[in-house]
Amino acid sequence: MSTPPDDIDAWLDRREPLFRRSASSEPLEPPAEIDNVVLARARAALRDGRSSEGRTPAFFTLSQWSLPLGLAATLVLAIAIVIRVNPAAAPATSDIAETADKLDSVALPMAAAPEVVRETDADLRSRADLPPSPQNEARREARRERSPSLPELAASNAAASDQAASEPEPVAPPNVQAVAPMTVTASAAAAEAAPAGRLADAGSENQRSSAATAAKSEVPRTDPLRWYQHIVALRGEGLAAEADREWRALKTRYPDFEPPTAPVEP
Amino acid sequence: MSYSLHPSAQARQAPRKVRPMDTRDDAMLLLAYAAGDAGAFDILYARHRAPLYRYLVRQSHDRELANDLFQEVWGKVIAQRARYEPRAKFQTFLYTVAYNCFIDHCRRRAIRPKLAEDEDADLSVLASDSDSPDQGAERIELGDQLRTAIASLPAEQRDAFLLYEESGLSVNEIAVVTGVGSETAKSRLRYAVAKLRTALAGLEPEK
Repeated sequence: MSTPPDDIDAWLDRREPLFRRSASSEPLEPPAEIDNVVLARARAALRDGRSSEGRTPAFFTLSQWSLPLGLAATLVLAIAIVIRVNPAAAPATSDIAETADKLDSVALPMAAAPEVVRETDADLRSRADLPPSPQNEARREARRERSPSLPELAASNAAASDQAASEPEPVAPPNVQAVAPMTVTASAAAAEAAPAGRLADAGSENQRSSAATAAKSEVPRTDPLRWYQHIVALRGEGLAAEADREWRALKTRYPDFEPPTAPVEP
Repeated sequence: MSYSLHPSAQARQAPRKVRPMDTRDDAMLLLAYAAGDAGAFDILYARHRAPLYRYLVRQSHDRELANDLFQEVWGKVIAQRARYEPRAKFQTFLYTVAYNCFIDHCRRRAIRPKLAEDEDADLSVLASDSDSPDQGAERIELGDQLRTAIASLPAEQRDAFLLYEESGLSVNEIAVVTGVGSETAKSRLRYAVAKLRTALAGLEPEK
């Protein structure tokens, strides 16, 4: 292997290529046919570029958007026509609220179900010969007085069912109010478990909601006077909307009921 | 030792082919062509067609292959006209495309030509009508030796040498085209020149 020349920089600077002397005279050039092909291709590329520039961009072509646009327009028109022709198909919110009130009144006795289960549990424990403590005994007596027994619950459920069946209005599916007690109870439990400082506002809000829910769950709808007292109590607590709703429900159920002239104690 | 033009060669500089005169540089011509000026491409093509063709012939040692590569290179230049940015010389861009086309061809065929196989590859190009019979024979012999010596170079050194000789690229531009560092390109060129000097030592014309 030969050693590299030390004067490569000088050789590069001189820039006297070996083939230069022959480049001007040598016939080593591309054939004329290839020249024609290359130049024709260059012009054709320009023509293609111009023609593609002149074309309408594909974004605005009708073929891309006509189908989905037509389908969407048809769908919107069909929905609008159906709503116009049959407005009863969409139930009014007031109807739903009234129906929910009725369902509330029907479902009220079911709120005592956990108590019944607990009672049955206590009975089982007593059957297992566990010595009942005096406190438990007193608590059990208090529960018996406060909550109805199973036959009483069955009777009240049947009465409520009869009452609901006697009214000709269709029963709508239960709305949010029907499941409100469970939701509020969960949030109240969360508020109790949360640190007092951080969730003070949320806790007070939840307490107000749980108080309203508790008041609602104890609405004495079978007695119009007591129901009215309950409404007065709601107004006293500042729950005006709840009180109005209860008042409308009361008037629906007892159209002849007139509020007493004397002031009512809540 | 130095390479210099034969005195008779300097005296018989044939007139260059008449080409369209345009003061715009290559980059401007390509940009003009991309903007829709077909005449700009004609000028650009006329400037570079012969050196590029010689480079491809000497790389491939095959006229037919050189014809195919030549069209492929210009086709790519045409296709990439809109993406061309004049950050480097047009020559660097052109020979990068040519070099890559040739390397791709070699990869497809999994070979790299080692020796000249095209016996028609213009040994007579170094001869001239004005030479005497002795001078002509001498020049043909010199051309034969030179072609054989170039063909016997390692591929990387041959790339560097042909890019330097045919395209007139600088060492840095050769480095860009071949994708190596400047020192590597210079080293390849240095070894190529050394080998060619050795091979042509006995045939160099007297100054």
